[in-house]
Amino acid sequence: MNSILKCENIKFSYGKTEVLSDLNFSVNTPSITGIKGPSGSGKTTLFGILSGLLNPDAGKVYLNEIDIYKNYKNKILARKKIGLVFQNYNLIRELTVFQNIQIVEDLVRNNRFKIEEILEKMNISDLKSRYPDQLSIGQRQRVAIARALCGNPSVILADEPTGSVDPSNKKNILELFLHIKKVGIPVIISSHDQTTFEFCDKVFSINEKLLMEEYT
Amino acid sequence: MKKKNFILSISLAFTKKNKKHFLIPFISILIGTMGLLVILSVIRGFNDYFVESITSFFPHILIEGSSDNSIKETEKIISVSFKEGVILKNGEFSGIMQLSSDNSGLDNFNEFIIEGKTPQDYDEIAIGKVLSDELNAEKGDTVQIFSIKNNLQPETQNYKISGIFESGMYQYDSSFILNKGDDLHWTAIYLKNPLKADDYIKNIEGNAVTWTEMNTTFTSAIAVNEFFAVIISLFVLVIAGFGIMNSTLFSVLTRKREISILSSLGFTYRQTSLIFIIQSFLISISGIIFGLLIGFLVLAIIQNIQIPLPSDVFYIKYLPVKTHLSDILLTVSIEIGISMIFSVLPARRAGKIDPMDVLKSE
Repeated sequence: MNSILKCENIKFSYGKTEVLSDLNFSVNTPSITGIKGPSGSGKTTLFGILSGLLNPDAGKVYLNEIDIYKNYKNKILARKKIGLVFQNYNLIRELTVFQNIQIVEDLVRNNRFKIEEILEKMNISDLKSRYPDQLSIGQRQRVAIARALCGNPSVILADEPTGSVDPSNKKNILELFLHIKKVGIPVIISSHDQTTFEFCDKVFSINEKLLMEEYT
Repeated sequence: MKKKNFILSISLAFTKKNKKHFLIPFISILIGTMGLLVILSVIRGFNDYFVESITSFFPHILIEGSSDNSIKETEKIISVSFKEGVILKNGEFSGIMQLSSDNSGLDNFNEFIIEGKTPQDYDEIAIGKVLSDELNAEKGDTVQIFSIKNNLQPETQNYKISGIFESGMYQYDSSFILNKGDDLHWTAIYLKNPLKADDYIKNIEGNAVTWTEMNTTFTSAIAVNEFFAVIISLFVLVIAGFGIMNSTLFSVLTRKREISILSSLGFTYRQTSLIFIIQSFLISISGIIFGLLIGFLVLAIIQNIQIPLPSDVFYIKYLPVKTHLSDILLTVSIEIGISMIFSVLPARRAGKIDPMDVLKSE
């Protein structure tokens, strides 16, 4: 079976400090995969490498069988095809909710998902004219997920998506990921929160610079 | 936000949010545009005044002998001759250039007569206003003209002043006299557009000369005027360009977070840089529009209040102003060009920001 996202023998160091060593990992089916590890263990670094933002020192990353670090074009393609969701939402403050989502739609020229439908599904239709600073933390994270989804991604990478939200919002956000999985898009979530992993089909932990499958 | 305009929309949103930071480059472009427009209009005013004064009085092309050259856009043709001499009255004397023509040729100068009329007889002359003031000579007075004949023999002849003319050019009004003559060696051509004289002369056979060659002092002065106007304006614009460069760099450095977000979404280096180039373009266009508006206002004020010029330095009474469409287009093109050139370098830095550095530290 062809993998959707696969990395082979990834190595990465910050100076002389090795963070990831000979890391192998793949996602083949629409599922929710959890990446577990304490702060500083390299989860964000791994997400940077998987999303085409951070060149690994060694190893390959394939998205739909395309080597994303082969050239700049592949790297940009990977960034477009991977929906990134950050703990701090990373929305552009000067743009409205609608504009934040639409720049992705315009950039990727997605025809699969309509913005209005996504806003509806995320329950943020009435917020589309607001600016990020006018939203609650939970609402911002919903907008960030909507933006990631709008690009019709091959996979969604969510780095600590529930790190800043209260427990009720946490459950809502994790349910959104379940919904995304149902429409056929795999989700990879990094977290150090046990509740998050209860929604995952598979959980890996970053341990001693290696990724180990913990449980399925 | 319409499709395909997402880069423009982001630029607009960033500019709107940071408009305070662009105030100084906006003002510097505004001043640069306004200054350039006013300087070019004043220089153009002087130039047009000189060109019009010279070409309305002095023939545009002179061809030796009678000529059957057919030149397009000829307004009129007369026959003339020139002779140098000295004019004397009551012990005062001055070097002169006699411009002789027949009756129909002299009628050509009627429009410059401010007192009396053009010479009707061979013993009459019309003199320039400055010369009449210098010699204290008036219409009806008699003057002596000393000159050298073709056979190199000196001759002195008395003339009656039939009229005083004013061409607007100090050179003519202080040294030219008009008189009636028969022995006319030159065909004088006035064109509809005197600026084309140098183009037409290329096709003329025989000895021919244009008004620009006959007035090299003035045409050189005009060229020098334009050269210095462009140099001064370029300095103003380069300063405005540095203003744009600083503000674009500031904008890029304070927007590392947004640049990183856009990169993570799949924006290319070029698209990210373009956001900041468009931002500079928007500031430049606003500065240019307001600069042109204020520039036109300043020019309208200059024209209305008529700023007097010192009469011992300038022959023109008031500061002349004339704006050509080509000057406006030149101003706008130079301003846009400079702001674009100065914004590209800092905007390219936007494409070099490592998104991971910022997103990770966030």
